[in-house]
Amino acid sequence: MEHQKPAAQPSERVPLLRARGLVKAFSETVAVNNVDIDVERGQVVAVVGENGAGKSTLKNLLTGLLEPDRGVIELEGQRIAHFHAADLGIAAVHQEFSLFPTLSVAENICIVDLPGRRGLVNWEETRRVAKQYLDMIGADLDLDTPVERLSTGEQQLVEIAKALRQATRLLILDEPTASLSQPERERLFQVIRRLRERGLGIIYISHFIDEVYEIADTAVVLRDGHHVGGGPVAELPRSRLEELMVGRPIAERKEEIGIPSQEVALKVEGFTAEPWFRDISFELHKGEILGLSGLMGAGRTELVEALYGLRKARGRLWVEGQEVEHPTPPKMRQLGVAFVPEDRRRSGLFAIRSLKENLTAAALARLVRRVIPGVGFRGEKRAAEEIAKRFRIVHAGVDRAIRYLSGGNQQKALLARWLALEPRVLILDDPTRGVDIGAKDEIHGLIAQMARSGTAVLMVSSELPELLMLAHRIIVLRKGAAVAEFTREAFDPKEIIRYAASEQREEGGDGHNA
Amino acid sequence: MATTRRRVVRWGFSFAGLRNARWLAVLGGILLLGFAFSQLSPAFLQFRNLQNIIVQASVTGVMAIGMTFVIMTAGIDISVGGILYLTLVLATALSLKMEASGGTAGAIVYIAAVVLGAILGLFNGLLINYVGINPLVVTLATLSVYRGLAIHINKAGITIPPESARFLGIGKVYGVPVPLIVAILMTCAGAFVLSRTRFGRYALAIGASSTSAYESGLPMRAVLIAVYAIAGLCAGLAGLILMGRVGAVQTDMGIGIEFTVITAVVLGGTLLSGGRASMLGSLLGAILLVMIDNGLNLIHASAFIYDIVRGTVLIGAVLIDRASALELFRRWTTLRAQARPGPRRGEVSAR
Repeated sequence: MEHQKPAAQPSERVPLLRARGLVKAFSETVAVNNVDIDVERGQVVAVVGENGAGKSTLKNLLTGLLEPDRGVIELEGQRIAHFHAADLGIAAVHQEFSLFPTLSVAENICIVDLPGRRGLVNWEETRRVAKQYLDMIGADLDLDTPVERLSTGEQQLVEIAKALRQATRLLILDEPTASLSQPERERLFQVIRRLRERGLGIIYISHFIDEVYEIADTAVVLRDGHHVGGGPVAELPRSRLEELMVGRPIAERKEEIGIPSQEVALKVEGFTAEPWFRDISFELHKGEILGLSGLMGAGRTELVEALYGLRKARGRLWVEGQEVEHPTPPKMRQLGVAFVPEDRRRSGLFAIRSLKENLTAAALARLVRRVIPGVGFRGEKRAAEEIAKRFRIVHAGVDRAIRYLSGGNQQKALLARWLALEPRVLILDDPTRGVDIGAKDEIHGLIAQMARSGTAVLMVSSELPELLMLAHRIIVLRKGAAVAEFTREAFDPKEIIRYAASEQREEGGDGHNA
Repeated sequence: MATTRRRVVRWGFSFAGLRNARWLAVLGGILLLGFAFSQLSPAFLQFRNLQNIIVQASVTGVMAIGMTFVIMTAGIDISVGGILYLTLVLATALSLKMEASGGTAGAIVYIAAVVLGAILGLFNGLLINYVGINPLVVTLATLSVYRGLAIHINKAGITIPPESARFLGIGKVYGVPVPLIVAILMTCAGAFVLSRTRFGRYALAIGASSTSAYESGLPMRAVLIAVYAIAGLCAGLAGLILMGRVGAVQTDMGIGIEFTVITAVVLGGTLLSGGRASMLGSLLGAILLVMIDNGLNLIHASAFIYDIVRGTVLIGAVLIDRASALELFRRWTTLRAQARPGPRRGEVSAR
């Protein structure tokens, strides 16, 4: 048997985990601000909030990856600090997986404490243990396959199995269902219920309200880093929970998006890049906002990357009636197409360069009057300041490095860079991911404004409410195929989610199919 | 498939399963090139020449084993040539001193040199991990520091080590050259550490994803320091072989050897980005490179051509890795593995 560290006997009235007054700030943003959380043995505590509410930072504080600036964490009455989660029986399922792509499934599951004696690895035992945890969650995966060859959903299962092995006291799941199919999700919930019966404390981080009611005992709602409310789920009406998350009644959020013209700005026919997406066709009109919805791993990001020439694909593509043979980023830019990538830190921002340079990088030729060799660009600074003002970017001087700005302001700067080009087609990949709510509203406003002025917008989003509010049309992707299309009049969140997630409706065949 | 896979693991080698066996391609390259050279020069296949190649390749081979550990963590060490030269100079000086005081140089010199190499490597590792400087910059700096130190110590320019300190270079056991034995032992030890120890798996895991390693709480710092110490140790050991083989310490020894060593490692299938490694591949890569030099020498090729050929071989090897027969073979075995009976899993993966 795999050795399980015996959890200390529950003493009276001491909760498994108690955190008080946690504060964590990153430069100018306070990610977690005075948060309390209690977890009892055998209890599932949901931590809910929108993206950027501070959920992931809270997770990192509780797993010891970050040190809180202030506040206390107690495990079974003992204060813990500078700790190593695995030693305390705490484990987390990370949203961005903590897997090792070239290593096998078995090794990934066991890596934290490889079975064996005196520094040697016992592979037989490793495979056996890995199998045991995979069986526990009902996952049938080949133990020797490198995880890089698995689908996102399968990798998620490996990540869960890996965490289960470590978690003898507290398991933290960070949006664990984001890339799971419906049956896989059901199975995960069964596992969670079983672990709860065994007395494990579970923190379930999610922004899906349905899941909270399905699995959690109590809820903690975070908004902009603050602990804004919560309590036993049974006593918390749904509308109240939603209101806590968003900070105001939801109906209030509305953007004027205008009426698209008949002119086609972007046309795509039979776009295919296996295994990410296949046979995608659509037309995008001037002034239209077209939303791409779907689960993580559905091929949304890959599709828009291919449209901008960042990824090879087959199929035909027209920009304003002109066919583009082999799209490349410079070619697309010349045609007036702008692309704002998903992961701003990795592929959008020049983090250590100044705000000024970041703002003018795309439209430099247009913004500056004259290049003075060896000296710089006349007018660049003024142009940057103007843009910053126009897009309400809060900054301490455009010459300071952009990485000192908050996530929301960084994202606005990235958008501003491309909007300064006055693009005819704007492609956005999850433009408000990890952005606080205030900035999010402003970004929404900017997008709507762009569309009203005639820009065609193609927008990927993980947040359905965002698309429901902004888009004229929504195309739903599932496993690389466009499975449904909805026009604004016919928007139905439940239907859309069903199309995005369900396995059974594969052949669909009703009027919506794109 | 599971059974074959497990058997391979039990051998204690990293190249889990033949379908990822890049070393096979290197071996093929060696045979092909060997055949070509043997047609071009009758001297190539002579026993003396082949032995010469093997002995020469042992020096780069032993260093390549150490370098493989560094590279599989996504690091790099270009100071190994400096470590080699400094240990060589000090080992010679030590053995001369021992000889002069009436003793004979032997095991003590060898141990001292290997330990010194490890210490120099450890110093690299500490700088990289505690001061947080990029490995390329650190080892670029220590390369010139170590070499400068050695030249400062070895003012005479050329020193001759005593015969008694040359065993690792020219010795024979049952007719088998000692350098070859050392190289093979080091390769086996390297493969064992890589595939059967936690340390080896951690090193590989860190190279595969350092963020995952951090989030999983692996002992990153200790591992990342140790790999540089191992690279230094191997460089010291290689220095002893070289000292014995050449029988003289000259100032140009080990200059540019880091390029050959890194090339050998990459040829052997270890990813520069980390996460995949093959010890046997590194050794074979070293042999291939030495063979190229040797063969070109025998056919009296122009001196300028050596580097061109080496570079071309490297690019060729990387291209082979990308596509080609090997990949087809890999796909075929994957397909066969997936055709096994049992419930189909997540339908996305197959495509």
